[in-house]
Amino acid sequence: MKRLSKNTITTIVVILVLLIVPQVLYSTGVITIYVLSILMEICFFSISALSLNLVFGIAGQFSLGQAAFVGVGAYVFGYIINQVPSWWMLFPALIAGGLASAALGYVVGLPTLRLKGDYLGIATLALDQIFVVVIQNIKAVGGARGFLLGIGSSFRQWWLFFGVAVISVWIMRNIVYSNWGRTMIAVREDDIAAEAVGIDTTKSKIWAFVIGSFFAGVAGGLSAIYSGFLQPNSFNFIQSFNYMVMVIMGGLGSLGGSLVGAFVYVAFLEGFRLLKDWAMYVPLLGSIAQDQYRIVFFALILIVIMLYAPKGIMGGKEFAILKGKELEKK
Amino acid sequence: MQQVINALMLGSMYALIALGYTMIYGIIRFINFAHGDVFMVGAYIVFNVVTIFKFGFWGALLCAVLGTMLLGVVIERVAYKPLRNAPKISLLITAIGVSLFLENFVALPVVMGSMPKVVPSFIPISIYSLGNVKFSSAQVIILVTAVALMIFLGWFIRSTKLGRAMRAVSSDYAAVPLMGINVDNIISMAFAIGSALAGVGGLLYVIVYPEVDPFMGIMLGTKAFIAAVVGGIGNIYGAVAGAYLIAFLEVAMVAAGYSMWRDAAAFGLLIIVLLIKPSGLFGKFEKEKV
Repeated sequence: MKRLSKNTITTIVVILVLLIVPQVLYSTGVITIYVLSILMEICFFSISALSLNLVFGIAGQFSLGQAAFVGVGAYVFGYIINQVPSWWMLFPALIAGGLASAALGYVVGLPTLRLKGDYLGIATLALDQIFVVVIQNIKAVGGARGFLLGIGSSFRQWWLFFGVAVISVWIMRNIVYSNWGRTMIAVREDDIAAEAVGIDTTKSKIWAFVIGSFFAGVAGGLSAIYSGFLQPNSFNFIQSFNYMVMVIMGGLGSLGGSLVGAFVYVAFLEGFRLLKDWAMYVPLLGSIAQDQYRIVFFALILIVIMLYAPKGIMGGKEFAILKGKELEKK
Repeated sequence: MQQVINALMLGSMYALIALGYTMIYGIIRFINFAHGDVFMVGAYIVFNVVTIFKFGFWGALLCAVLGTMLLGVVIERVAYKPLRNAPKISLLITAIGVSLFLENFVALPVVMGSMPKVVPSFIPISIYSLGNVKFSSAQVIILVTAVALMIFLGWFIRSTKLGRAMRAVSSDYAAVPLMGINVDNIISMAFAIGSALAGVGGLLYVIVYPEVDPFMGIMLGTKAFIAAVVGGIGNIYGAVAGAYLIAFLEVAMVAAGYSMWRDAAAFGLLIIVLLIKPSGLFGKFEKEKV
């Protein structure tokens, strides 16, 4: 048997600890279901932030429409699971959501990825809004009124959210350090030079977009399980901005950065609420006023972070367990 | 015909806001996502001076212009200027932060509250009719103000020293300081003018649709922004043309009974234009240098 490297062992230990500890803490009543659901939220926001980082941070394609791909995943997942609400359908439905999203990414990416920089961002923003309008007009998924998933909370398990997040992060990490990833980075750094050394830049960009969309779709499926109710407007371009905020706040191009970004984003917004009404212990029912205070503070903190660390919290650095082989040696 | 008037009203509003986007993009290549919220603040300023001080049109205009101008310059100095040499994307995130801040600050219960507020009528309104078409003095005021401002801005950019300096910064950012022009002042000036136009937009908006709410700037700002892109971002005539084009398209969709699809039509037009001519209808194509 191949000897496991020190790094691999650390990774496995960290994953196991994160998998078991929250569940144990919750079962023994140390943390409430609300804290556990914050952790679940961090899981699927991590996946979607990382998927955007793959598209923008690694492949350099400025997308302001990531929420649409999350939305496709969420709606496809919701539709399938509503037809067959059982455990064995769970993973096929999640994958189907991802694949539907990837397919849309391909169809959309083919024409739009010819655009560059700000223009690509604007086009993807517009696509996101068109997606919202289309969903609002599809009666089968509730249109503008919203779409209720008939699955209750039985799927809201910590191991499911964490497990899917770990697998997704692991696959995306491997893609980044594979030949594909290197191609994407080359295109990001200089697409003309990349083309000159024989890289098919169009193909590379589209692959990045398709893979990013796939994982965004999977994250969407998780978010559908999480909330149990989907509304078209929660996938509009404002939400895409939020993903962008997570990626940039964490550090563009850094895998760990996206995870940190998602963590800070959720932990701050939800933690603020937790702080305010600690005594109430009622999840998700903070009054509207308090809701608004927290966003005011969040906006200020975001501005301050950007002013003092324009490259994000991680600033291009990487966690040891997310590094590629050649980086490990350094 | 009534629909044409509606479209002209909407288009004028979009145009005033789109000019701010396009001026700032033209000069520092930066999408100021907080611009729609400057418009919102302008509308709130009008709401306050009209309800508290009972100001009329000119008083409200003066307050909205000065208030938003100050706001625009403060935002630029505090949040954007320190990031002048940082990656563009950090600037964009800061703009999103500023936008979130403005919206949610205004929505605080101690500030204005998150509920929409009705703006009392503050200009005398009389209705004229020309054949079958009815229009009000308010609509005349809006159209005249908007067109006058556009002509003024066109003249300003073309013929004044400051306007020339702005065009210079736009065409070659690095060479301008060498000519002894203070780039910081020019950029602040662009923000001041762009924000003032958004403030006027806010005033005109509450004349036609007398209601304000803290999140009103998001959709209107986004539409104005895509209008600027459709017209060719960085080009002020393009912004105006794009604004009226988007407005006519939207009003046509609503008139045809597809009001649910009006946003999709506007964004769809944007994508089509971008795919055919990425620099917009009137934009200059910037050749890529290897």
